[in-house]
Amino acid sequence: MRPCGFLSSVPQRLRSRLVCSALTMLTMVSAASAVSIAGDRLPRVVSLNLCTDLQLLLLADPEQIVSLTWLARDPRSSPLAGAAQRFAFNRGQAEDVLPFAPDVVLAGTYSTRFTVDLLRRQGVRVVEFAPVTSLDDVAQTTLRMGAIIGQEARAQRLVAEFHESLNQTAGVWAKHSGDRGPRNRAVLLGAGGFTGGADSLAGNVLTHLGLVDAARRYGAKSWGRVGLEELLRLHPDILVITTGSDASREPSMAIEILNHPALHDRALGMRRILAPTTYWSCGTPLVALAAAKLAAAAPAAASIAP
Amino acid sequence: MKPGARPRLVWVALLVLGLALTLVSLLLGRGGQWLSLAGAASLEPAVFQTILLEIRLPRTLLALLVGASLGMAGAALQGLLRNPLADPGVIGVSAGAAFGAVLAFYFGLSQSFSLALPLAGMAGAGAALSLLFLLAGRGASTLGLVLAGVAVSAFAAALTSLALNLAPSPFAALEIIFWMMGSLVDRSMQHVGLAVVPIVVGLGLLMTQARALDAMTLGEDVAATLGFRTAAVRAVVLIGCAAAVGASVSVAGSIGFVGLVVPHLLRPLVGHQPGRLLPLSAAGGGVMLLGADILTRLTDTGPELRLGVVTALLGAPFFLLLLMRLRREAA
Repeated sequence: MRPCGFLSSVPQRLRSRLVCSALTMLTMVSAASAVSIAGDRLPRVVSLNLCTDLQLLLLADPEQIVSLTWLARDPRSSPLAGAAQRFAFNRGQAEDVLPFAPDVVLAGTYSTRFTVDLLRRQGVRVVEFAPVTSLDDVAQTTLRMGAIIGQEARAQRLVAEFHESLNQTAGVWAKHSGDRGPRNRAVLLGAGGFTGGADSLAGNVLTHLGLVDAARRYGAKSWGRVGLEELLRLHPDILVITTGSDASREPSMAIEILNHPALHDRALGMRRILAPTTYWSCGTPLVALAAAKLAAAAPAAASIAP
Repeated sequence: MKPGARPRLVWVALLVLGLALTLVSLLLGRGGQWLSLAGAASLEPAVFQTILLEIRLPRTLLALLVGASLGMAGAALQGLLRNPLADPGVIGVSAGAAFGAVLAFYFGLSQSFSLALPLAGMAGAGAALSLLFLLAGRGASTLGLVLAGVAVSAFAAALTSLALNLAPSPFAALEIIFWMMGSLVDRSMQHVGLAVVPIVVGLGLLMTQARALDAMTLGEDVAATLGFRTAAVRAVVLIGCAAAVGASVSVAGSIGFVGLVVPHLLRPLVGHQPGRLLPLSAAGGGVMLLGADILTRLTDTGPELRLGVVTALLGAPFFLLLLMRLRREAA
């Protein structure tokens, strides 16, 4: 069997060992477990949140997954859209859940509030996951998910690979240095000039890579908005462009800002790097792939004279 | 006092003021911070140049162009309709233009063909003007015109809001404030390039009707005996306003009150002749909008003030004064 065959939506260079091994494991284990569950059945799960969808795809046996959200199969928002196609999907409503009588329902803390309350009143076990804002939380959340769905061993292996992968990318941007020292002052720039500081998950990844948050000096904390002129005054070496997930790339004035000619001015030599948004919009071990992709851009960026 | 001596003085004053404000606009930033190459707040030369040429220059040029459009369109519509309340914002032309531009921008048309943005703005402005002429054409009372304008304006604003809610981008609904209140923040030379030709053509068309508008102050019948075809005059003014206002709104959003305030302030200085008021209102509109845009930058915390908020703060009391004076005259 071709490893990672159904990961077709993920670009080749990103199909790292991490995801491949997790998914190969997934198919092998599921073949075995199909036989052995008779007495000690693993919990069957419905996920109402894209981030828990992704964790399930990485950790659960296919038989465990009752349904995922529709977002999980949309490549604009999901890095595992290909793998999600074979599962039923829901739109985050109680009616999508109750008829299937799952053992556990997974939800995000900030979404589908009414649905969660309704399900709890019906006696369904709902487990909520808060948004992950740091790399440490990624490991914690993954282990917690493994415990909830009875896949502790797989979660531990995945977290170990996650850490191993992160070790390879730690501080790479600071190592590649040009004539005038490392060109590693970065600003994370999203639609409408929104920027994430070091306290966001994305900012956490940048710090891990040895990038310096150039907007912090300006008082931009975990989340903020930076004007075009302020951005030029900061004059970062790197613009990490992060267009949100989903339909965010459709025309809007917020998106137009990212294409303003001033940001493309050659004299300023600001290098633009497209952030792997779908990989770090959720705190799953896939974040290590986002780090790997950004790390791969480091040598080229360092060689460009300012 | 001889009319003619003062207009020259007014022209000189407007030009001096315009040049001074242009300089301020190029160099003054958020929170009243000056752009400088020396001293504590000095910038790298490359950054200085980019901010000056890629951000401040288009912003300044657009303020002048859009202000000129709104000022002259206001003067022309007031002359044509012989009605002091005819302003592109009040009578719904700007709202129509915003609807057209929103359709072209958010649904991808202007991505494949960038001129679609000003063209759609012009079409929207033209449609709103045509509707207005149908509802309250020549000789309509001030009340009739304002009521028709309110109707057209509200309808176009509702359509704009609907279009933004249906647009595929999740940011679209939040951007309604730009289309309703206008802004010149972070515009680029591309926007200047899109708007400049239709604006110049529109203003040129309006200027060709200067003498006809003078004649029409004596009534349409007199103008007709003087050899002006009123239907043609109306058509050219309509097209000129649609082009100038439509293109302006499509790059800067709708900005109210400029076309109302500027002609009224300048009218007594040119002996109440609409023809001579046209170019003067263009200059005055440019200066007023540039000044208003500079005011938006003076706050140093939070988001910048919206341009339309500043012009409304300056213009709305003026509008009330005007209404009170009209009532006193009527009494």
